[in-house]
Amino acid sequence: MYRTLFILLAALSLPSIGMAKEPCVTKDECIEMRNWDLGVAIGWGQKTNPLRDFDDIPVFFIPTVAYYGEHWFFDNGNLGYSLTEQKYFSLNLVTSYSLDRAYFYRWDPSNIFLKRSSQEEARLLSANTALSSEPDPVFNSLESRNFTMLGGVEAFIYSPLGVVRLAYTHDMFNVHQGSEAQIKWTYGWHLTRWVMDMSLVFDWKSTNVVGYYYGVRPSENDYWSKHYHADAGWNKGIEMTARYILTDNWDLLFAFRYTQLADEIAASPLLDQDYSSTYFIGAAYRF
Amino acid sequence: MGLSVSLMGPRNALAASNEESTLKLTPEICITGDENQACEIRIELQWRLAKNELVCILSDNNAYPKWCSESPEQHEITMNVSTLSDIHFVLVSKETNQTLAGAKLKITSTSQPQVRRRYRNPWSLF
Repeated sequence: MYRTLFILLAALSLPSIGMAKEPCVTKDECIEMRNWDLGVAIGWGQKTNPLRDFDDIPVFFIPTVAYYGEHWFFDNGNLGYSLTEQKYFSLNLVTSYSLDRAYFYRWDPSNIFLKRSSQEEARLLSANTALSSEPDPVFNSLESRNFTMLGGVEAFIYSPLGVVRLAYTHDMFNVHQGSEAQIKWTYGWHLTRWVMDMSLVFDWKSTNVVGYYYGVRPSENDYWSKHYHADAGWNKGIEMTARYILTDNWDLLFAFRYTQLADEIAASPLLDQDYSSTYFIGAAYRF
Repeated sequence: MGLSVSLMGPRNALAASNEESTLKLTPEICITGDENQACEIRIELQWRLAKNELVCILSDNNAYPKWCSESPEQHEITMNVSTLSDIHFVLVSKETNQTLAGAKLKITSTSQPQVRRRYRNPWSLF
């Protein structure tokens, strides 16, 4: 995380466009109301999969789909309703979905535009623990980890030092009955044709969420189902997105995400990495 | 130049051999109450030339066909405009037809599309 600190300090030394003097200041942070905003980025990237023996996930396309009405909005799979939008803060009711399931399933919404990564492709065998006193984390076929939507509230706080997002959401369909929370700080720059932003992200996942996705079921491995005890934890991450504006419609897009998984999640025998990182380089077209 | 052109009197020559030719439009923006409402406005086009010569003014709006000066001393015209969309005016040399300068009348309405803050990074979906 020293690299993160360095990037943060470097970011603060550059001129800002992040301050919000009005509800919507620059073209980059605004969207036209009552009009679909559609776009697609085509290029190459990769998302590492922390699950043991699951393949990393190539990234070929990134879509963007958004529609904002007077109060309602739909943005990249999130449905929201703005309760208030003020100069220095906003408050929304929102839905979201967990990114954890995406590691298990090809057709999770997070993976729709990514190449296949599924349990069928997993080899589910590992020889990495040969020296351990514990039994090898070899699993039978994994049980389902179902999709669910989370619903809750999010607040944005705008300041000269960037935008802070605070969110709390809970499982709406009794799939795992868990909750998630997020603290996210985003800072943006606009330098001639470059538009960049960087975020530091802290994601909290309740015991139920961690247990549902990363816990071991008895049918998968009886020993590990008894010896791994899920607990709530905080993922920590950094996100960077840079766009180079070519024309009104075309941008070059550079994106990078890194998530350090919570110790409580990394301890799961289903995982053999304690992080997930994603990068993407491509050309983006906005319709 | 169209139905409502009125010629202004000649002015002193504004030419300077080492200057670029310019075309100045006043005003440059017409604001309407609704985007379906035509902008009706009287505009003035003034030009400065690198060398005194006869010029023509063209536009991308068929309602305002080509107009040409009859005296090199003339450096401006006024005209009444009625339009729903922007008009781009181009100043060309009458003799060589070479483009010398351009100016744009921008039409905007007070009912331009409203915007609001977007809450997600457009490329968050990966």
